[in-house]
Amino acid sequence: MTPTKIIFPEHTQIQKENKSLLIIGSKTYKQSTVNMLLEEAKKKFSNVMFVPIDKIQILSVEGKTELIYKDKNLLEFDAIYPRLSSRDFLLGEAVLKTIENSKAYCPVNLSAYQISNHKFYTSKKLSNQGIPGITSTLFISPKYADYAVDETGYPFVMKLISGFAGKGVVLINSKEQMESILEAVHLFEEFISTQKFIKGKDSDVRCYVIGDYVIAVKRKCKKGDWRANISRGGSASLINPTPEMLNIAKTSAKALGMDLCSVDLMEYKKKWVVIEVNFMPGPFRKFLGSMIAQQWIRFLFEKSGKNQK
Amino acid sequence: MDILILAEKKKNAEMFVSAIKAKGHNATYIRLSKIILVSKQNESLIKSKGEELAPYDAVFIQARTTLAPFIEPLLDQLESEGCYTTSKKGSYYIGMNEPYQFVTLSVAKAPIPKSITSGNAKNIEHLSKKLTYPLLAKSFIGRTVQQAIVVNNARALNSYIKSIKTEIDGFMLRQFSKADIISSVMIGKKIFSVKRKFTDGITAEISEGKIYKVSESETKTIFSAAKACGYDIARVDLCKGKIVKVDPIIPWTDFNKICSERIEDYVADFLIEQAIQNEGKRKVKYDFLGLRKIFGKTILGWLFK
Repeated sequence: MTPTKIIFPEHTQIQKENKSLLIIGSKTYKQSTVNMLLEEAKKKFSNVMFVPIDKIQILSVEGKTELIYKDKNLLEFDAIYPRLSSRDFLLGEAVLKTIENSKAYCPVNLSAYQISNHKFYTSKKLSNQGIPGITSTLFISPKYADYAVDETGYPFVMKLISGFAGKGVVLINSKEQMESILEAVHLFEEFISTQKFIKGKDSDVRCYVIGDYVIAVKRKCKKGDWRANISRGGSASLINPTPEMLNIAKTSAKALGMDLCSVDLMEYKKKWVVIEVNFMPGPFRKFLGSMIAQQWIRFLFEKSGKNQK
Repeated sequence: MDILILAEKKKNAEMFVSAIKAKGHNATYIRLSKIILVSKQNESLIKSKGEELAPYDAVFIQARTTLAPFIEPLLDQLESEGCYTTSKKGSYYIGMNEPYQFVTLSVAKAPIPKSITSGNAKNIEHLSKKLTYPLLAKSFIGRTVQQAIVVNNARALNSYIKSIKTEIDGFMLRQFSKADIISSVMIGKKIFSVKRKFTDGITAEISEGKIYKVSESETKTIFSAAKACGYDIARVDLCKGKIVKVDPIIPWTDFNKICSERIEDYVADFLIEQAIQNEGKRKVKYDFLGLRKIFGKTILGWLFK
């Protein structure tokens, strides 16, 4: 796969329309990403606002729920883009449920937030749709871990359900190693998910799904690290997605109910399989500048005010 | 009919297994911790101690909502196999997160006390001006309640907030009524209720309550609450006609004692009825001459995988 000329969808005329956009950030939002999104959004939308989720007030009475920030009703925006992580569940689920019942366009839904932040559930949901993934298991009791190993074999990757950005992920090579880790995991009353370990080529492909459009990025992992997450170091470069990649990425996003997301793929037995679907992907600013953010904003602008609710 | 009771402990399942068997149907108990969910290239499976779960017509899950990250994919799988479940997909996520549950009830136009949730303690006093005291103040870490206290005025609320030393993820303030609680168990269309007295700032336990006949409007509210949260069998608590709790976990023996009933018989009838209605919807894997079912659990079981 050699990088070739990538063609992006054309931006509509740089002409501000009377449209408004609200970006809801995770309470652990990255300032540089927010600044970039706001900068791009202000070029298109006449009114743009960013609110971290922990600053939102949710006011509920019978038959009516409002999202308020500094006395402003947040449901009046034409489009709302929630960028939330698994750390925002307490307010995130309530906020997304409220948005779903508003007139604002939202590129992601509540169920997608719940499923994509649960690695096993994502894998299960996709496999039911015939989307290729990796054999995974989910169980509660370490006592029955051997049955899970029967499915994946050694080595396997153990993930905690709340794990993200490559953290909370352990590579297990033997029964002894598994037993000592399970003991610690059980103390924290975590749910245990295991996944068959696939030895990749030292790289994976992240597909940014933006509606019907896909931008593919090849990511190389940091030397000595088997995880390809850019947040842990490594590098990234644009590639032309193959029809197989396009199909998997688009079908995965559709199966989970997301117009904006990223789908991470890895090559396994000469086929592409889904590793993870991200509800709140980073824009790879270091390697791709503002390109991803521009495409997100273009899409949100085109969709805003067209909600069929 | 084949009915499965999935519970955390055997004692939570035995009464239902016996009641169903007494009515001439098959009932099995499996401990929830024995279940392993498996996702493969093109299929997902539910296994118990390495064996694929046999097809059941109905499944009754008795598990705490804190197990939602495990129960939700399980419910999704059972639903995709066409199996009837008393709790619907999504119901455990709703039960696990109180602010989300109240938004869900509000969206469904079910009567709830006015409430405000925020992730920040700084403006909680300012927010309280939108509500009327007394208030039930709750703090959360993740989706778990850390502390709950009734405050009668702004000063009490302020001192409560100041007393919180750990980092929290959110606050919920809810208008609180100093009144009796009506705790009900709903099984399909049947409701059993207990009135719990509120005296000297304390609500009596269910075991200390008295049998109560719910009004037409209360009945409607109980059904709408359980339906909005995705349960066919649930506990619903009302205070002055407003919903204060919806939970799939029910203290069965307390309700039986106060209501002088064997509520498990109603549960059994309901499960059998649902299983019969659901017959034919179950997506059973191809089973030539029923051999898979006969030999599936024997030493020859591997031949039919």
